[in-house]
Amino acid sequence: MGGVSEPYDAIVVGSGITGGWAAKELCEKGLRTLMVERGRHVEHGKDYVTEWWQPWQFAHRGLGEQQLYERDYPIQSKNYAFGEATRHFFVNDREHPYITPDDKPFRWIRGYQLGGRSLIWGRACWRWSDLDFEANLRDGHGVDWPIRYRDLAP
Amino acid sequence: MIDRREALRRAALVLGGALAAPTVAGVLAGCEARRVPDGAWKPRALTPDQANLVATIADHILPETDTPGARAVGVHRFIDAMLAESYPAEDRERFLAGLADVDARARRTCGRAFLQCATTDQRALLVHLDREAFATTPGPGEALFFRTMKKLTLVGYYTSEIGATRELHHAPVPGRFDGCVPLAEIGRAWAV
Repeated sequence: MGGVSEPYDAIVVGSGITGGWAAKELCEKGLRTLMVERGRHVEHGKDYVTEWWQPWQFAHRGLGEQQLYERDYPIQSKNYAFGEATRHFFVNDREHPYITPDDKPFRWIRGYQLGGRSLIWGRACWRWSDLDFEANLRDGHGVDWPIRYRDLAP
Repeated sequence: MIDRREALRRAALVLGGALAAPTVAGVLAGCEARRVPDGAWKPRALTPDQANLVATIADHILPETDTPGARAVGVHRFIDAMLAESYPAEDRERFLAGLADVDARARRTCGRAFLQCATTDQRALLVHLDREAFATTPGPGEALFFRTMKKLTLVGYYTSEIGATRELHHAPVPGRFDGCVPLAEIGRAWAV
């Protein structure tokens, strides 16, 4: 394979909320940045194929195809944002399985397109309290936030 | 069987309080009922007789008033689509067994299949089924036929164009949120 070897200052894996912002910051700082993504190319507006659909336009009126969900989306379908209007923006669990330790199950909600999960969030941002910043540490899950509420307090 | 206000109250229970009862009926009573033609449609999970049975039961649950009833908005088509495309085989068979049970009960109580019974006998039988189904809370994984039938009827009706825009208020982009408004000022519950 020939392949082209190009030098980059930074490679961002994933074009969702985090990757997207990281790439933007890196580019604005003048770094030569490569972004890697998989899945379909989503063009803003044109590819929001269910936008403005009314309940009666969905074949199963929002209840979806339960058999399909159980087979292909057993994890994704547990997410509040998953449904008839958004299924095409979620990964197929059957085609993309993962494992976790038995005592540490993790519900991994994944997009599968340009923009990642930025296309399937609820468009609402709540103001966090100190409880939220400390939740990971207290519960022993994930990585502790490096900052606390007081660091951001207005 | 039940009036629409009662149906909505129960729908609110089934759907987790998302709906509320309307107080002002007849806002759009002048509109002519736009019936969905049944001619070209063929059921896939149901036989034509079963589809007719489903439509008849649904119409008892949500009859025509100042707005069209369940049959007129095609609730039976939605239920057939759910059975054919969505439900696992086990759930589909349980639903079909429930329909057969309706006929078996009709034969015992009025000597004929459900569709051949008088309307009042049909209604009495459904009232009985309704009481039975809602007397107990089903355990995990347990589905009582009439609960499923009623849930699908309500979802199918209130998400139909007629159900959402004429029986309910429909505001796809509400624009604002008023937390406390006298119901009389709105008249009908909002479609979600």
